[in-house]
Amino acid sequence: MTTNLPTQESQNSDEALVQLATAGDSAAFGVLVGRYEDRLHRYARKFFAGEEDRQDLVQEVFIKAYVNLRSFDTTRRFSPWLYRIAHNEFVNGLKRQIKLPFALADIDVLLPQSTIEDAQSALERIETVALVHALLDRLDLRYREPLLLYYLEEMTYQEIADILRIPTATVGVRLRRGRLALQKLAS
Amino acid sequence: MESQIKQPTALQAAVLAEISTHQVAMRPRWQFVLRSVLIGLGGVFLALVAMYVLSFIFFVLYQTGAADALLLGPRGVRVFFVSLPWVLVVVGVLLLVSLEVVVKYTTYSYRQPMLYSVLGVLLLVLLGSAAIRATDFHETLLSEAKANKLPLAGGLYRAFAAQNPDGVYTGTVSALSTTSMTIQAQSGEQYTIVLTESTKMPKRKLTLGSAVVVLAVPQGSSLEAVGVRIVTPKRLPKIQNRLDHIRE
Repeated sequence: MTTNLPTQESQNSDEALVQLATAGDSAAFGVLVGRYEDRLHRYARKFFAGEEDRQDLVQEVFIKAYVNLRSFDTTRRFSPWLYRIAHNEFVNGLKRQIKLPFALADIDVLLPQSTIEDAQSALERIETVALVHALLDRLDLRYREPLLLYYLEEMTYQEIADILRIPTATVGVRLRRGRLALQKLAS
Repeated sequence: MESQIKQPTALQAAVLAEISTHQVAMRPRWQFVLRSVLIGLGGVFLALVAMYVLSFIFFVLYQTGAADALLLGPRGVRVFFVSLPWVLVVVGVLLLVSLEVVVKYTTYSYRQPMLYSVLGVLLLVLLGSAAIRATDFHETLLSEAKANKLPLAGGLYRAFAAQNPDGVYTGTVSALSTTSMTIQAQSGEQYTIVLTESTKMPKRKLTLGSAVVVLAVPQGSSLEAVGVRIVTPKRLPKIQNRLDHIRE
């Protein structure tokens, strides 16, 4: 069974679509699915090699988002909320496939770090984005996610912190280390 | 505009099909509100229990004289660690960890280094336990426990707070000479303790009627003081001293 989606709703903001969906307009949720489908597939690709796994998990992310939609605060941005669900779902999916290393206390999360954001020129950013596209799969997961969310999904430090549940300053630390690791791999 | 219809992708179709066939349903808002309220109440409950346990540990340490023993040299330090209520310490640590998890889960504290929230939780619990210690809460409960009027927590008070650690004696000085002193416990029993040159004496002058905590070791048929501390009479533990070695 397929439902045709009105293009009128695609003009709305994510948060407005959430309001429509919670009011019973499931087509509005369909628009949200369409809007984030490719992005979540790209995000999932950094966790899973298998296409089938990715498809199932991305669908599961949208189902979970729909079930919990009324817990979303529409005064906040929808995308970090959805990515938080995706992050949890993907990490759990990964845990089912491989044994992730157990970290009792991550020193980056525990101790205060410098909160100064690195200023990159437009050219430097373009170069980094190219490196992220080319080499991200070869990085440790802890650097992979912040780089992907920052350079490909264009999220702020704060939004990445909310998705990964880590201090905002730690996002900066991981981005810096991730960039260095990328440059090392490139050279 | 309404007439412009876009064909859904396979994923959109699959998700919308599950929604339209009621295989999945949106959870009502009240469930999230209730969950938040329950987690919040759980956090408050954990904080209160942690405050109680921490204040009880401090109470036990002062009540039994173990905290005073800590200041009476290496032997006192050993007595302190041996007499620490380790079960309660472990419970206290578990409560603090659980509270930290709840705080991380329910607030935006994860945006700051974990050290800050850990210190915040610790400070909150320490302040709360200090507030409980400022009252006679535990003293009252101990009295009721000793009178068997405290059905649930009575065992806890009798097990942890109603007995001195080995070698720790508390009471009021009833006789005093340069070589010995007799102290009278609040239970009425008296015992004589030998004072030697190596005894760590208090800075204030020891007089008849001073409330004291004494760390002593058996020497033959007598007790030899390792150290003596004067405490305020209010702090004098209202407990039964161990009279394993000597009894007058």
